[in-house]
Amino acid sequence: MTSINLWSRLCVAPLLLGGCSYSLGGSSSYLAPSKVASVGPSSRVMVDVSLLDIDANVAAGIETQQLTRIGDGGDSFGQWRTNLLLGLSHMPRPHEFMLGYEAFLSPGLSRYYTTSGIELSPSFGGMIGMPIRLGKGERTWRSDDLIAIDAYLVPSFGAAWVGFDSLDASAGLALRFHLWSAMTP
Amino acid sequence: MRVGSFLSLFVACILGTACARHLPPVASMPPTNAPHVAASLEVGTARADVTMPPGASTFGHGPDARIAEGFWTRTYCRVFYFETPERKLALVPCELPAMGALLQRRVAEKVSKRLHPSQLMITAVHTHAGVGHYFGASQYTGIFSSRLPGYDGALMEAIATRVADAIEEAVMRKRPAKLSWGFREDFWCHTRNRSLDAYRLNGSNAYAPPVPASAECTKDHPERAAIDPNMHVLRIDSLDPTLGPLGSISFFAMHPTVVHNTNQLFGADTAGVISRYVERELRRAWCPTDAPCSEARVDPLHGVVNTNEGDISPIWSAGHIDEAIAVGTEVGQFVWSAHPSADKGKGSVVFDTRYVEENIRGAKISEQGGSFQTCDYPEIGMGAARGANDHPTSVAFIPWFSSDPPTDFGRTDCQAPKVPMLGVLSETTKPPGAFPSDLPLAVAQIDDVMISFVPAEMTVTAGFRLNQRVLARTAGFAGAPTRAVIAGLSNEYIQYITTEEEYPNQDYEGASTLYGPNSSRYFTNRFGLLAASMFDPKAADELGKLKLEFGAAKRITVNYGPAVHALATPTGDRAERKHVATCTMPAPQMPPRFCTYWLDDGPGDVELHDQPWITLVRDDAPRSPLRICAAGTAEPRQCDSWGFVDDRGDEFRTRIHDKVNGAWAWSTLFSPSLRTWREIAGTRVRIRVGKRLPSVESQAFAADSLPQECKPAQARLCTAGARTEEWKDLIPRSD
Repeated sequence: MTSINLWSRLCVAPLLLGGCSYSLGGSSSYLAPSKVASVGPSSRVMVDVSLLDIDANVAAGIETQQLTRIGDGGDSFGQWRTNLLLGLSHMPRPHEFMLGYEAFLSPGLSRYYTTSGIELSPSFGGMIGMPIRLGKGERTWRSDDLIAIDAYLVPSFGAAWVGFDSLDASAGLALRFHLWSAMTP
Repeated sequence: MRVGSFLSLFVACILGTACARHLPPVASMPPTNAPHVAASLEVGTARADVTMPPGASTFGHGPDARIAEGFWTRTYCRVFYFETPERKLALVPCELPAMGALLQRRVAEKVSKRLHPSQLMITAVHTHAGVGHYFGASQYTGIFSSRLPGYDGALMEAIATRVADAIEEAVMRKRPAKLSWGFREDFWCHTRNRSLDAYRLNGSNAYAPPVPASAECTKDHPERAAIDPNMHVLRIDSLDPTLGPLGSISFFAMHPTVVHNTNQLFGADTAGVISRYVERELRRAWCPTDAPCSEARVDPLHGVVNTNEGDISPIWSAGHIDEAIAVGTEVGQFVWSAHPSADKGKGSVVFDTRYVEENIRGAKISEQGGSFQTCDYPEIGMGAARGANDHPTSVAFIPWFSSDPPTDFGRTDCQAPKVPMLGVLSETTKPPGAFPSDLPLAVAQIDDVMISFVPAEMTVTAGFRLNQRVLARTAGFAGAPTRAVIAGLSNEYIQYITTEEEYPNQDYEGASTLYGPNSSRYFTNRFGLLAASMFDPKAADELGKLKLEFGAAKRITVNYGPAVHALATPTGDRAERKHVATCTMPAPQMPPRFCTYWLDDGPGDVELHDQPWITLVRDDAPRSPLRICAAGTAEPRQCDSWGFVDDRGDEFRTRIHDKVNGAWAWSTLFSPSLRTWREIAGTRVRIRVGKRLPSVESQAFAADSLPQECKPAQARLCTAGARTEEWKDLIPRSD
C-alpha cells in the first residue's frame, strides 16, 4: 500500500464522517508532590466524527508531549507524555462564532519525575480546550466547501493522575489545522 | 432478532442515529359508502409561497446540495381543493425537492377541522434547488444530505403553516367547477432515459409506448425512445364562465432537474418554468384583452405532478438556469397544447378516493401463485454515491464509489446484489426512522382517470406496470377508469423504485431502491388492490387481510437527525436601505441583462415573503408595475392581465452577499426574456425592491437609454458573488 493510498484511507474515511486535525504547540506541566515544572513541544492528531445531535463531534486522537524540566535540580531531559484522547470537540466552522470547546478523557503513558527519580507509568486524566478559529468568518452560504482546512489556536488545560502517586496539571497552546467537509453536520 | 442485528441497532442507537420518535396516530376516517357515480363538484385553489430566505440548504444532490444565497424563482405549493357532496381531497403539488410524512401530518394537523390526513395529497416536483431541513428521516437531514446537514423544526413549521393557510384559503374560495382531462401520447424529443442499460434488462417486458417514437429525435438516440410520452392534463374551470379558469394539473414523466449541483439559488427548476408558462397562457386565454378583466383577481394555478420519471431526464447539456428556462418553456408549450378547451369541462364527475398506510419493511406480497416480500430494512447501494449519470456527485472520484460494477452477486440476502454504501457504516441506515418506512398509499379517481399517489420515483417500466395493474384490476366494473397515472413523490419519499429486472444493474436508481428488488412488485400489488377496492369487495378484503385499514393515519416513526438553525429569523435590526448601482450586461443577439445592487436589511428581516419583493415598474408617478402584453399585435393588445415582471416569475436572480457598512448587500440580476424585453423596449422602467418606504429603486432606463455597462466586478457580483476585497469599490462608504 502506498503512503498516498494509506493517507487516503486514514483521512478520507473520517473526513466523510467529520474531519481530521493536526495540532502543533507547546505545553507546560506541573507535577505534585515532586513540585517539578516542565515545558516542551506537543503534537496531536485527531479525527472527529459527527455522530450526535449536538454541535460537537465525537473525537479521538493521540497527543504526545516532550517535556524539559525548568528550575533547579535533576536531569533536564527525558520526560514525555503520550495520551489517547477520547471525547467531544466542537471546532467552529467559518459561519459559526469563533470560539469552540472540547473535552477529553486522556488515558496514557507518562515518563515523569517523582521524588525518587524518573519513572514510566500509566496515567489517566482529562483535558479541556477552547479552539479559537483563526481567520475571517464567512457567511453560511460561503462556507459550504466539500473539503476545507481551517486553522485554530487552541488553549487547553488538563489534569491527570500519573503512576498512582502524582498529580500532573498541564496547560498548553497549540496551532491546529482541521480538515473538514460541509457535508457532515 | 439475530445477535448481529441487535448489535447493529445498539451501536447505531448509541451513536445517536437510531433514536427514533413517533408521530401519534390520528383517528381513522373510513371512506364514505356513497356510490361510485358522478357528482357535482366544487373546487378551490390557492398558492403558498414556501420560498425561504438565504442561508438554508437546497436538497436533492446529496452531499453536493449547496447552501442557498438567494432565489431565481419563488417556490410555491399550489393547492387544489376538491369537494363533492360526499368526498373531499386536497391535492397540493409543491415546488419542493421531496415530500415527507412529517410535513404531511403537520399540515393535516393544522387543517384538522377541514381535512383528515387521508384527504391530503402533497406531492413534490423534485426540484433539486428547493429547500431541505424539513424531513423526519435522519438520512435526509444528517450526514451527506446537503452541505448544511440538519433538521430545522422552525423551517418545517414555516412550510407547514404556509401550506395549511393556503388550504384554508382554497376551501374558503371553493366554487362550483367543471373538469376536463386532456391527453397527448407524443411527448417526444424533450426527455431521455438516463439508465438505458437497466431499462433494457426488462427485455420484451419493458414499457413500450402506445405510439411509436418520433424518428426525428430518436435517430441515433435510443435513450430518447425509452421514455413515457404520455401527457395527462386535468383542467379545472369555474362552472360560471365569467369567473374564468381555476387552473390545471399536468402529469408526465420527467425528472425535472436541469440546474447543476453548484447552484446556490432556490428555484423550482424546469417544473417552475412550466407552471409559470401554463399559468400565463391560462390567464391570457381567459382574458385576452386588457380591459374586461383587469380588475379581477386572475390567478389560475398550474401544478406539475411527476409520474414514472425515475429514469427519465430532460434533454439538457449545460445545466445552467438559462437552459432550465429554455427546457421548461418548451415543455410548457407542450403541456399547454395538451390542455382541453374549457367548454369540454364536466360539472359532474366521478370522484372517489382510498387511503391506507403501511410499513414497507418486510411487507408481504401474494400474487401469481407466489409469495414475495420486501426487505425488512432499507439499504442504499454504492451506485447511489456517484449520482445519476446526468448529475454525478463530486465524491464520485473516490475509488470506493467509482469502481464498477457496484454489485455483489455473491450476496444472497434480500438486498442482493446491492453493495451497501460505506460498508459496515450502512448499518446506521437500518434502524427505524433513518429512512422512511411508514408509507401513505392512496388512489383517487377523478372522472375516468385513476391517480396512484406513490411515495417514490418509479422508473418508466415500473410505473407502467403499476398503471397496467390498476386498469386490469378495475376493468369491467361500472364507472371504472379508462386511464391510470402515477403521482410520484406523494406524501413521503423512499427514493427510487426499479423493476426486478432493472434492480441488479445497481445504477443510481437500482442502488436507491431502498427496500430491495420486490419493491416494484409491492407497489404494483398494493395500488392494484387499492384501486380495485373502489369496486370489488374482494380487493377490500385482501387489504384487510394485510391489516390495512382504509382511512387510517397510523403511528409514524421519525428521526429528525442533527439539529440546525437554517431558517434566518428576524433580528429587528433595520439598515439604511439604499440603491447603490444598476448597470447593464449587454450581449449580442439577445436581450441585455441588468445588475442592480443595494443595501438592505438582513435575510431574516427583509420583506421577502411579502411578494413580489422585486418588481419592474414604470417610471411614472405611481410607479405602476409593468404588465406584459404581446407587443406588435393589433389593438386591443393581447395583454397578460396578471402577468407582471417581478420575482414571482423566473427573470430575477436575487442574492444576498455580505454585511457592508452596517447593512446587507443584495443584488439581483434581471434577465428579461425576449418577450419581456420587447415589451419594455419602448418604456422607461425602474427596478424596485420592496414596498416599504423609503423605496429602493434603480435609476430609470429604457432600451435607448441603458445604464452604463457593468464593470467586471459588478458583473461578478450579480452572477457569482463578489470577492470581499471588491466591496470597497462596489459599495463606497457613505461617509
